[in-house]
Amino acid sequence: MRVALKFCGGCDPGYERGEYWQAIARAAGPEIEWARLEDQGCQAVLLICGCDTACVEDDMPPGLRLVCLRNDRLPPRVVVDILLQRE
Amino acid sequence: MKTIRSKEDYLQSLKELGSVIYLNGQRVEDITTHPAFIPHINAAAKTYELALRPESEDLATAVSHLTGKRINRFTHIHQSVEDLIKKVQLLRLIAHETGSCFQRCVGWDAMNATYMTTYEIDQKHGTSYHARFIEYLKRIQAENFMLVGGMTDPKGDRSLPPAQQEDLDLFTHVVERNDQGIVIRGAKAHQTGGANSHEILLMPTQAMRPEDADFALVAAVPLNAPGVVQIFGRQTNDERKLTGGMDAGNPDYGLVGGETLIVFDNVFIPWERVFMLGESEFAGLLVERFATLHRQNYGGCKGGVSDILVGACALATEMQGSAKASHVKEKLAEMTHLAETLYSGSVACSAMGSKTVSGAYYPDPLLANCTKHNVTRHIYEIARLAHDVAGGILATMPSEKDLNSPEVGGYVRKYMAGVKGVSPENRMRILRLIENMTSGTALVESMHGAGSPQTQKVMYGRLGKLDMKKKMAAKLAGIK
Ligand SMILES: Cc1cc2nc3c(=O)[nH]c(=O)nc-3n(C[C@H](O)[C@H](O)[C@H](O)COP(=O)(O)OP(=O)(O)OC[C@H]3O[C@@H](n4cnc5c(N)ncnc54)[C@H](O)[C@@H]3O)c2cc1C
Repeated sequence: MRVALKFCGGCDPGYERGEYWQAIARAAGPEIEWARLEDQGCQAVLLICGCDTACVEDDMPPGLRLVCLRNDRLPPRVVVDILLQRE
Repeated sequence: MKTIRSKEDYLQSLKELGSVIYLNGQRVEDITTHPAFIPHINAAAKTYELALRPESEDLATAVSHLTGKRINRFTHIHQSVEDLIKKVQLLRLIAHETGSCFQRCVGWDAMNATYMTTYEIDQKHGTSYHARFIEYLKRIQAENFMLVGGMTDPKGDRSLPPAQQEDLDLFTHVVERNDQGIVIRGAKAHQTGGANSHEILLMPTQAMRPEDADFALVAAVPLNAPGVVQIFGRQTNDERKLTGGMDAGNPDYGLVGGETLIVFDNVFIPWERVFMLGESEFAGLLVERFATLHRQNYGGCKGGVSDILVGACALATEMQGSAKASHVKEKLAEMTHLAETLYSGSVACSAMGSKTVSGAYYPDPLLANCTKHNVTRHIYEIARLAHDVAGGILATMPSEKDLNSPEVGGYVRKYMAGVKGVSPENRMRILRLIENMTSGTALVESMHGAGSPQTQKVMYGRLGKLDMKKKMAAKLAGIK
């Protein structure tokens, strides 16, 4: 599955967003192909925000399924299951 | 100039620029390899690096309203309230990365103030400054070079206006006009990031009267132009930068911006780089706009720097065994409260921002002035609390060389011990960071950078709607 990765700007994040994404990418392995928001052919967007404000959430493209994270409480494996709709 | 994208591009561009820069009476040929300049260059380079990082590109880049292209946000003209808020968020983010001043906001504010004001000058006078400035702005956005915001003149006798100074050069002014352009003489003082910027955008330092027309000047000058000489200012403990390491406190990013006195000794400026000359009635408006845009910033960057200081104090007290004391917890909470108060001011003046006739957005001036005024107080109070919880060791600690000395290193390690298991070296590192962030130059920047407190107070009289406040009070008191 092709997933677009997008971070909020990170003005005052409550956790290390980059490290959290790396853990998610490790948990996903080859099941997810990561792309940029501008890239074609994505089925979902993983938006990693640093806090509850989730500044950029409203700017996400309407056609794509959005998974928006505001903290690092979910285990990476669970995030992958949500992205792959295996909840 | 080649487009600057990465830190490497930025360093290369500074090497090629060859500005004339003096430090301690000596010309410095290559600032990119000189330890007095490297930390400030690293801090400014963050503005380039973060624009390339997915985790920060949303704040560090923007879409140009002129070309539709993605640009570095430090070259953007604010197009919405959201842009104003993102500016403040970006400053907090970079302050978290550097714990210091990253310098590039001053030129950014100069650009925005010039954009708005040239539009209005042209409307009144039929001049073509705005169109000229747009051409210049397109170059800045395409090449992504770093601009100094050059407002403050040396000012000589503060009780006299520019045209009455004994030496007219104490305010930057035009000494010659010809069909190619103008020649200027004077200087700009305290220029943040001057040594490691590419160009300066000159602005008048204060409101001007018609007789000061030669001083009412907005123009862009490359910092390697003939006749431009920079003299790098001294800072508290600056010789520690030369040896580097722990004693420097924040060895990678330094302290404050690294300011220069920039002298213009008969510098030629072609007309296409002149964006105001002689329209003295607009000098006050331009200064006010630049000041408001710059005062907007301070809760972002100083809020962010304060976050680092709170973290440093929390670590120091954990290392020293005082972290659980209720007064220490209370003081860290107070520091957090003060830092977030600063940040809220910056967000508030941005949220209440409005559109100028040029289309560019502008923060609420009253709230921006309150924000900077709070900085002149809260940063001192935050530093006072940091000094309190860190202890007197901040003022008396042995050096890194003593720590590593075969003769006395053992004593330093033994007597710099804190809580069991904490490395004395780490304790010394965090204490040096606190010392760096709370001493001399760092505090003076919060007092005078973006204007001394009195310049904020005078705005309350003008913008504070006192007549309305009197009316509201009289109504409630039943006064007819
Ligand atoms: C670290 C740092 C970085 C800076 N960066 C920049 C920069 O990048 N670009 C830039 O353009 N400027 C920059 N500044 C300059 C800053 O804006 C000025 O320091 C500030 O405006 C105060 O001016 P001054 O330093 O000349 O102080 P002064 O004007 O000498 O003020 C000292 C005191 O005298 C009072 N005073 C002065 N004149 C009068 C008067 N006529 N009547 C009554 N009281 C008066 C002031 O209110 C203040 O209390 C920077 C300053 C610092 C400290």
